Amino acid sequence: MTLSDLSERTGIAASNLSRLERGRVDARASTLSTVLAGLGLTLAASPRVASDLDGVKARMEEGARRLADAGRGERDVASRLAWKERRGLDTTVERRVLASS
Amino acid sequence: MNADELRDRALAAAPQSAERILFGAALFNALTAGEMVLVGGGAQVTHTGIGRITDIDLVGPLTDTDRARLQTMGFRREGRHWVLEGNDATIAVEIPADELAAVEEPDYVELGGVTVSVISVTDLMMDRLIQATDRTTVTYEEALELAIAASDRIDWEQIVDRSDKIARTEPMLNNLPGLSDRIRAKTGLSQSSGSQQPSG
Repeated sequence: MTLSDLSERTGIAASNLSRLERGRVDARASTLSTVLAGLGLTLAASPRVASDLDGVKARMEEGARRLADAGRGERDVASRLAWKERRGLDTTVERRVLASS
Repeated sequence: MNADELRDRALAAAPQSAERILFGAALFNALTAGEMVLVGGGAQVTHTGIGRITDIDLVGPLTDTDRARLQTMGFRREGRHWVLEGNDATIAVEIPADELAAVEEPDYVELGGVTVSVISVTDLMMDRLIQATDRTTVTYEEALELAIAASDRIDWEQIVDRSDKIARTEPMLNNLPGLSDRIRAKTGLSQSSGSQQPSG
């Protein structure tokens, strides 16, 4: 669909649609709704899907484990553990990865 | 959780832990009007579990009112950083840009009623690949580590498309498609798109 087509369907000038498409304007919700309707779509709000701290930590452990499984990690994790220990940094993830590999 | 509680949690957390990074980002976000998004090494740690960071990189707008609130909380400017010092800990935050150069919506992490935005893993992968076009070992290793650790969560088709587009418009980054292909190949995933750029 061209901007001209969409302009005809929505009654919004093609120049304004072009500015909207290029992010040059911060459109009102009513304008967005009109444009989306012209495209056969609808504007809807949905809650943000969020993880929590435990979810992030589980992801971190999985990532570190994959690096170990890839043959790069174990040596790297061990060296990172030593590097962090020398500086008194948190080593929870490294210890768990080494213990399970 | 209010700003004072976020500050206390961030300063009490172990250096380089997820808590230090995320509560530090949440504190900064609580003190600023616009949305701050965690990027850089801190985001890489939360996506991979591996990494060494010295500061927290956030992207977002910073107004004069925000700066005043940061100073009231105890942050002070030190070079390019906003630094907050506790009894035994220091948090350093850098704002490298006021707008996130991303395609996807950030990931959101809930921390006791406060939401922290983290750059999506695919946008972070794109950023790491662009950094790695400088052909240094450090940036290449960071990109490779993220690719391996999060291979199944990265939208590789999007990476290939964006790499090709960037290479066409920015001659200095013409090795990006080849680099993306090589790094993806090292994750063990097959390539879904035939980027034919020469390797760099």
